[in-house]
Amino acid sequence: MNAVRISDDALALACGANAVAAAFEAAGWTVEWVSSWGMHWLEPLVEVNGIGWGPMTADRVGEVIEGRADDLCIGPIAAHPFIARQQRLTFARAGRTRPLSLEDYAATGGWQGLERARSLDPAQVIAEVIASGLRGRGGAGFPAGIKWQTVAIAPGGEKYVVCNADEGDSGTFADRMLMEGDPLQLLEGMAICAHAVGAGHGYIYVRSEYPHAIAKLKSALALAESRLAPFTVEVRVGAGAYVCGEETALLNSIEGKRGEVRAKPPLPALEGLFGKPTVVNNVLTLAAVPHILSPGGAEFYARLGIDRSKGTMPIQLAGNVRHGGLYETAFGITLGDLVGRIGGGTASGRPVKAVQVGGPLGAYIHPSQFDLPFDYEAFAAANALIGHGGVVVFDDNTDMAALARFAFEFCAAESCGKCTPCRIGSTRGAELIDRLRAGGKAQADAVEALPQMHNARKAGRSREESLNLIEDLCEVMQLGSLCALRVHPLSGALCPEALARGFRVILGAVLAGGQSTRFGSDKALATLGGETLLQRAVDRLSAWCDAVVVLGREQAPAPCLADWPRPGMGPLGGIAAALHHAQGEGFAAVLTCGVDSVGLPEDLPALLSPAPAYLADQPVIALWPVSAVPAIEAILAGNGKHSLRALAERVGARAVRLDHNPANINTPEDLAQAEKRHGL
Amino acid sequence: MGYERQPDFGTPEVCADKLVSLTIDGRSVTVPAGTSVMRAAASSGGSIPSLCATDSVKAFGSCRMCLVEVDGMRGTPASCTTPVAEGMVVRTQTEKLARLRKGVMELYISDHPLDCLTCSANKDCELQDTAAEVGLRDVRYGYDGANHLGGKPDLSNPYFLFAPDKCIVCSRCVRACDEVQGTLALSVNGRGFASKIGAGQAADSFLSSECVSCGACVQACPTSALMEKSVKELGKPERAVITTCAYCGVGCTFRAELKGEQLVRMVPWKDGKANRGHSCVKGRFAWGYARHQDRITTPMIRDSVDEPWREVSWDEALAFTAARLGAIKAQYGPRALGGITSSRCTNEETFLVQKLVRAGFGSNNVDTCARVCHSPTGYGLSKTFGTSAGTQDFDSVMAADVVLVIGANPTDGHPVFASRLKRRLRQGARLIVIDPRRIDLVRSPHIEAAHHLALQPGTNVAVLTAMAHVIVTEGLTDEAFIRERCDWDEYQDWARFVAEERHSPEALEAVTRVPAADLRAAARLFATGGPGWSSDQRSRPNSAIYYGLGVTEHSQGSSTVMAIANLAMATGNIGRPGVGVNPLRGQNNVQGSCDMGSFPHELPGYRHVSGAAVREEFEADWGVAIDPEPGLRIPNMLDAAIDGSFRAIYIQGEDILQSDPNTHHVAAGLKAMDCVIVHDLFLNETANYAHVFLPGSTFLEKDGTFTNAERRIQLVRKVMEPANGKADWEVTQALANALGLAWNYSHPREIMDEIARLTPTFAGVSFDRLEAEGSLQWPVNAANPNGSPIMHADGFVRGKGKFIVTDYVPTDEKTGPRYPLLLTTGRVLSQYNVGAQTRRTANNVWHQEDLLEIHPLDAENRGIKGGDWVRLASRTGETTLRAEVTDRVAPGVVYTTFHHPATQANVVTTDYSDWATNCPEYKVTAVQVLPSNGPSEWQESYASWSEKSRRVAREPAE
Repeated sequence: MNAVRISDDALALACGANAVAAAFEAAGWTVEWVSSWGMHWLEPLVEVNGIGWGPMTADRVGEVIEGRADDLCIGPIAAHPFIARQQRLTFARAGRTRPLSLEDYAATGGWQGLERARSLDPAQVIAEVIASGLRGRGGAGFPAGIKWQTVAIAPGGEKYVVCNADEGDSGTFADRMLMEGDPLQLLEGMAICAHAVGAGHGYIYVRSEYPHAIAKLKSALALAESRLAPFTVEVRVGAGAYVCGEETALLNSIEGKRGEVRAKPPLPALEGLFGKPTVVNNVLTLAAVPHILSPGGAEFYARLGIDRSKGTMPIQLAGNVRHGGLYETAFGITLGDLVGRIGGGTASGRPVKAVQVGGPLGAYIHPSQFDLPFDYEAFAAANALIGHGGVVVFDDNTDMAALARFAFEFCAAESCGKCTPCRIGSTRGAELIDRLRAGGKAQADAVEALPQMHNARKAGRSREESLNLIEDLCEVMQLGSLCALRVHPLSGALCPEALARGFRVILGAVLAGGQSTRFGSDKALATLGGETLLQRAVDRLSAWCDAVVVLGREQAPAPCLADWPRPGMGPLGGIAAALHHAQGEGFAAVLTCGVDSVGLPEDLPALLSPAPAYLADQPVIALWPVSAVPAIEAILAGNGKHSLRALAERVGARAVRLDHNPANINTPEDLAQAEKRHGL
Repeated sequence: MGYERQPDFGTPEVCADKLVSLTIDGRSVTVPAGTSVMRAAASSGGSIPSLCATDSVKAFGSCRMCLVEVDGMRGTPASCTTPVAEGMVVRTQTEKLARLRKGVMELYISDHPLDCLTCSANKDCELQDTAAEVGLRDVRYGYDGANHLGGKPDLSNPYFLFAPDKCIVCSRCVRACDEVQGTLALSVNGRGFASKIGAGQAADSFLSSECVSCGACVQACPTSALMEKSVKELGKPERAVITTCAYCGVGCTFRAELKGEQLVRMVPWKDGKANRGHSCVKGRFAWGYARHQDRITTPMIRDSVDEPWREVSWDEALAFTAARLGAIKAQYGPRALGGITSSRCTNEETFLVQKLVRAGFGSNNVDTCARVCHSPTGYGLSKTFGTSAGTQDFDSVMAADVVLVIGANPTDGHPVFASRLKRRLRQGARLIVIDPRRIDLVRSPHIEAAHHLALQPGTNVAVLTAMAHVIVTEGLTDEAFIRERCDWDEYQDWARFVAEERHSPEALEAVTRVPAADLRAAARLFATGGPGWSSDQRSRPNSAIYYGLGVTEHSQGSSTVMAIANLAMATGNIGRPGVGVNPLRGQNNVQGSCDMGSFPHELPGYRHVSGAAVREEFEADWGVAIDPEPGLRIPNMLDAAIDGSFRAIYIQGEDILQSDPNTHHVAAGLKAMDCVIVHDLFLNETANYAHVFLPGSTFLEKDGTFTNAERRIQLVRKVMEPANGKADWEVTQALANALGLAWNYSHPREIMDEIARLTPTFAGVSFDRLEAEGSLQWPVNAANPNGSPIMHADGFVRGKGKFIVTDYVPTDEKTGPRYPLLLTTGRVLSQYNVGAQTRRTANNVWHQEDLLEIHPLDAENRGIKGGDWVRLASRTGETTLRAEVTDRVAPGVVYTTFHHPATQANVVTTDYSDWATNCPEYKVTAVQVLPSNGPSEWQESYASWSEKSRRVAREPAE
């Protein structure tokens, strides 16, 4: 009888593995459910005699049965470069075994670590874990063996092992894959830990969003009960709070208390669950242990990696990446390799703008730093963190300020609410980014304006001041917050260093390419109040923007850009050039005005936020997000009208109507009138 | 003392032998290991700004104001959560820290009202202080961001308000409710920016929540979010006086905070050794009675009790009284006169009343309310141990491994002690509760009794003997202790007795209704700590016994006390911290009033009046002859009054009509007397039968001392002038002088000097020492110059501990077809005793009337639903009250309180009493409960009598 192996990993199921399996069964084939190889772009991946096809759909099952579907065939799976290049220890069974098969588990070296550990003195077990160099894979990278030792020698009869399986960081899925694909290995690791530290009972704290993992764990527990005995394990399901992935909040949650971070000291290793000495380790840490305790395992593990980052790390490639999936390899691989060589660049095919490593509150890393090796210390030195090893890729269309705002919003909702910098600062941070996008705060608010408020600012806050305030807020949050969530600026996308690296918000663009036909002379150089219109426009935009460029001129008091793709395309050509420039330099949006736009309202950026938006009566004054690039390219390449309104329509821009429109200087008379109106 | 907050060291004190030296801002500091950097800084004269830290709760680390820099440590650790280390170099004031602190404060103020000058916490606000320290001038975020302003205040609690917009979510209130009080009523709801403090469930208010209004949260709050309504109304106090609470026997010390003579608030004093800075709803808030409109401040007299009262001058009242007493004494002899001292008054006042009876009236007819509560304690413990008092201090409970609570309901009766007990239980100590009713301790948040033995009322001795049976027959006794400390022969007699099969749990199960297996398990737990108990220091657990009136108020009250003592001795649980026999005293000074010679057979210091040497000592000092015959106990005085041989009584601060059993009998006795002198704050129920009313003074209006349940003598300080013009001791002195005794005490300290002179256990006590040392635990004498927190440490006071055989004798009060249920009585948290004070405060919001708890089965059999009026009838009398159907009580048992005179639960209770001390059997009355339409005949006639008797003639009588 013919047999096909298909993964029952949640990702494969989400991609249609059930339908594929049904099609094979309908054709009389036997389906063997196995764990996932971790090549997500190929799921559902089906395997027949070692040869793989993916991504598989039910309607093409017939072709596979007939040995066709060559376009889907990837040849021998184990030899696929994505797999072959890896060094899989923790995920050695991925794709190869049935998750709940005791035979498969034993046949692939299962229980050897536990048997050997139980034949050793607990102190020897700990010594081996220390020698392996294994560090906590949950984020902090604390040496696991040292933590175990602290728990082992802590006074107190009762001790616990807690597995942190509340995998909540964006772009991470290794814990889930392991729990679904190799749950017995996790239980074996916990049992070894329990033996080493003298614990009788353990907990696995899993997030409720992982129903498949929860089911697998429970089944695995029932299967392995006698193997684990006298050690017992209980699965606890979280209730949806991100912060419960923080170890002390997690302990509170298991105890039935509010998921609130505890101050350290006391360390959980001394006063953890129910006040007893407790090992809290991540899924990947505990799952690495059976290998380490197998004969020679510790020494082998310690030989891998670089510096103080030993062994392998299951890295998760996600976001806008072509080849997303699980990539376990020794420490030391560079980010560039991971994103480019292995991940194949972005899924959209556009240039990479940044990658975020270490979860939603982790740092964004610019391609200029892609030589950074995957190494705890190297990342720390770059003010970044490896965290749980999730790598999320963004392309150049990404609005970094929006991401920064999201980080703050996320924190305002998901913070445990205990410490002040996080509880209040996150909300203020989101508000500040809005203020920044609006170019500052035009005037004092109602309270500041009160005469009783002697020390309050009466004159609004400039963009510069708002930036300084964000900088101060980041410092307070980073240095002042209570828990590990603070290690990386919530505002990774917008911290001052990030700004310096080019994650800027608004590029100002003065459109000065007109022919000045009605004006009679070069109106950009006409003066109003003693200054040229061009200078005035550049100055005006500078107040709101991180940088200003001038389009359609050779000389200007700001950098000049040539229209795209060539001169003579009208204002759209200028805007396209500005947008391209903005994209390359990391701006989120372009604020445009004409060289002759006089009397722009104080709160123009606010009026035009969120982008895209334009003034209904003067569409040249607009805020275009960099994501408008494909649209504008399409319009300029097409035969249609190259009009601003066409662009607006295409990107769904909002038309903003004002009571008093800015002046538009088309003739010397207009200029004279403006002069009069402004009392100049 | 002018007004200033008590110093706050930020984190709790740490006791450790090891000392650690470090440098803080250049100052070198040495503190116990484990102390926080914050506390070390505070104790060396510095101050690190903080908002979430206060020394009553564990460090929390949430506000991030207290960040410091430590050489060699990364980042800016919080000083509250960072323990000191040897050689540590700490800087608390740097440019970076200033920037961070200002940044945090800027966040706080961006979400806080700016109305400091009109805020009720103005100048009493830690947020305000801290903002001043960091020098915040401008909030750059502005004030139009998201915020929590405009939140509606919760005014539901009568004493304090919760203003959510003033809340900075520091969690101090939540932690105080958890750690200090142990009720866990408060929590932080929501996450992130939406985190908010809430009481109970979302739909709850403070009043409807589990909150017991202890005030710990109000005390902990750094702003005006939780604030006494009195402060909001009256403003910040201008002076503070430290004094001792006059409610229960815990003896909490408070700072009375005032503006002039106006009390603004009572704040628990952190240095108080009985309460350690904690309080309950009564002491903290229920002081409004002190200036209640019902208070009588002018003396009143009348010739007979059916006349209205006449208001008269002090001179006239005293002359009238002296004349009557003189006439009675002349006609019927000194033994027709007597007095009742008050356990509510000071030691000095009590001493004077018994002195007046003995030296002025010339009889020993003096008794006190301890007769009706803890007289068996005095008897039982003096027989077995040699001292009529509890063996431990309250701190001792923190060293207990197993706690046995029998016949006590600490969360209601002794709430501040209960909080400490609960703290210890949450730390892991095991609990055994022996009580017919499922008291709150049996199961409350994070606490569950290992065993609740819900015995049949009246079977205490049987249960304790059965426990002893298990311990003796299973070989769980501490033989080494017994051989060393106790009389071995007496022990063997006792052991043989308890080991008899008829005392096994199985044999007694039919009587006690306690499942034998449960009782055995409880006994083993008490003796061994239970499976898995271990300690590096000791081979046996520290097991402590706490008991209350559920032990004493029985016909076998004294036997039960002795059975308790036997149990403690047999398991070696006497003479060190964490163990002992601990009576929880009802009234604030019941220990003191007993110490002061308030019993008819004992002179001060528990010395029998028949002893010639003792009598001579007093006779020499007082210059009078003392009757060598013991006098009458309260019930005997009443009996004698009905017989006609007892004719006059002086009752200070006691309402025997309401508090003593068998109200009819009490009323008849009082009515038979020629001269009843009531000296009280209010026209109480007893005053309905009085001829003379002498206005009393509150504890706020006098100097003196109280002695609490742990024998701790503490100063009561005059906070305000007496509304009636005289402190109680001055009234007694004036009465004595009207009777011709030439007393001239000018201050209670002189009375204490006399007490010390005449009472060996008080030999070392003086006001000067109390002022200097805060409190002293007697005995304070040559052998124990610094007092005695733990008694019998090196051997029993009586020499060898005495085991006394306690045979179980069922009470004569039996259930039968006509009275099939057993009534037992008790107290609630919010009301105190007969309610004279608490009923005159807003505490009524929690308990407006006495209710009858009845099991659903018994209720259904009788067609009774919750809230129905029911008639409660015994062989003695009947009353009517409303039913509460609950399984807190077992089938066959009903329960009520006696706080409200409208109910008069004691109309129902009987004349049965303890065989040794006459302590009434309040806890067991056979009753019937039937549906009713309204008040009983007695209630109606009493109400009309009471109204008539309380008339005061507005025109001077001719």
